[in-house]
Amino acid sequence: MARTDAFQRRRLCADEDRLGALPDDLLLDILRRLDTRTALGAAALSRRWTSLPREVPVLDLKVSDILPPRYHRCFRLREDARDSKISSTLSDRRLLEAITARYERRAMQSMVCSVKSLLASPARRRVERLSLEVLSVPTPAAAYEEAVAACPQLQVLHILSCEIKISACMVVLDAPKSEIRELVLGGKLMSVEIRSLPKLESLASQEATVLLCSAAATPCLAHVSLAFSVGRLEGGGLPGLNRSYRDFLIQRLVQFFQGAITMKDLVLRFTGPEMWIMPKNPFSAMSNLRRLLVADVPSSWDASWPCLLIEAAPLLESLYVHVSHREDEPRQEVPGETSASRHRHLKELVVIGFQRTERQMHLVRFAVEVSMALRRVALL
Amino acid sequence: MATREAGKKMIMLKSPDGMEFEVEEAVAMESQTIRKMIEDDCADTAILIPNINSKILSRVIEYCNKHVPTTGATGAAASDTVAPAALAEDLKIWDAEFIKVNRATRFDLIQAASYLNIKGLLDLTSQTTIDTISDNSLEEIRSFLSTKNDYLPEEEQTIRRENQWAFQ
Repeated sequence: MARTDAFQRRRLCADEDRLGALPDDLLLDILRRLDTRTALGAAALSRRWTSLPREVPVLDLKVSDILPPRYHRCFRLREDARDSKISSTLSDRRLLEAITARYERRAMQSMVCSVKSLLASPARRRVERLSLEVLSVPTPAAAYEEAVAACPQLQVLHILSCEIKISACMVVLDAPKSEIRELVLGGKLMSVEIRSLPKLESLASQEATVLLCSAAATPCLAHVSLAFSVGRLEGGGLPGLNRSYRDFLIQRLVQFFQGAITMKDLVLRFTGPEMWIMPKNPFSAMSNLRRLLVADVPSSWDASWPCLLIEAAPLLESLYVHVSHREDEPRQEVPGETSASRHRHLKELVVIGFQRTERQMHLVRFAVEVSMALRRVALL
Repeated sequence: MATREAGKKMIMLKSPDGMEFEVEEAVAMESQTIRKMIEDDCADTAILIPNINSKILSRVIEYCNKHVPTTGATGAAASDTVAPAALAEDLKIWDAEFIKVNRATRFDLIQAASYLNIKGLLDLTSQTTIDTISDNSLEEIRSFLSTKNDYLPEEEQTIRRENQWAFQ
């Protein structure tokens, strides 16, 4: 027994902080592969580790990581009570609401606090990419602004709404000094207002609506990707609800395209049967647009949509249309006539999933007829 | 064995403690560092590998030997007969056995993998350390890594405040 102890002691001595003896770049490589919480926690190990986590270029903070198990239990109870799976009184339900809301508020408060203290420490931090998974509890709008302002070298910001629940969330970004060039947003009913992000080049949104206060808010915005689905809310949803959500989206899109005049590349991915039967053309003039990809278009899509797009974008050079063949598709026509005025720049039309339907043929004929510069048509 | 010697170029690797290892060029070239030396024609007779003792170097060579057929050009013949998925599974099991070493050896392997630039080995050796650091308390990690907490209380307080996200 004594011999084993002595043996272990010797081994411990031999092992003494061998990891700490590795060079910085190897330790940093290990920290980079850890989840953000563990990587940050490593700073408290010893002085050897103090500054290493500050060198980690990507930080990913998820509010769901700090919600305690008790929150999830209360949340499930609350859902069950709401769906009458368990018997409950109104006051039970109110109590559960209040408890979960308190947990959510606390979690978001500590998240905001953490982000602030993380970015506000006097030591230089190398983070370039910050990903925040947030809850929709009322968070002071200034919280995000402060976080962004505290870290001027931040180049990529992701704000994703927590999967646990779906409810409205409002984020305001007003950071005239920020270096952010890429913004990724995700979450149904999240709405983001951009007042100033002067270096922003690339914006991607999955279900989140974006409001640009003016064209001056994002003077460098060149690449935009927007994905929305309508009609798949909780197993189909109510047609009326879908329609009003779609109308709301259209209104937001109209506003967005009015602000995004510098946009050169656009990817639109609208899914759900309702999305492409819009009563109103959401595409105002897109005067700088060069490349456009429209993805997941139902195969019964009306050809007048790309025609409207071609007309809205006088400098458009490439149009890619990707047709999907999986939906049970509606057959309505899109109202409104398209005039066949000349287009001087369209060089390329690619239809992926081409099936020789009447509508698709019409689109190709239209493009060939209207475009004076067309050089390549690919029907794949 | 005859074809092996006839068809393949051999490379001599020397550890600083004087051991010599004769390996196939393809095996040695699993290391990007050695590959570069060979490609730059700096490796006519023997390559001295500094800082890596013979014990560690032999293990590194063992790893490269095992991993060469799936990535190198010779792999085509092997993967024709055995399904690639099964081969990958075999390799995974072999890796798991390979990495069952004490910490000191593992940290030496991390350093060797980094110097010799062998991505697969670096991933394997680091991942084991990562698994230990994740899901353990600070005290457990400290004792596992034999790290002493050398912070003054107020220093630790400041560091914890800066990184409070980790301690929520």
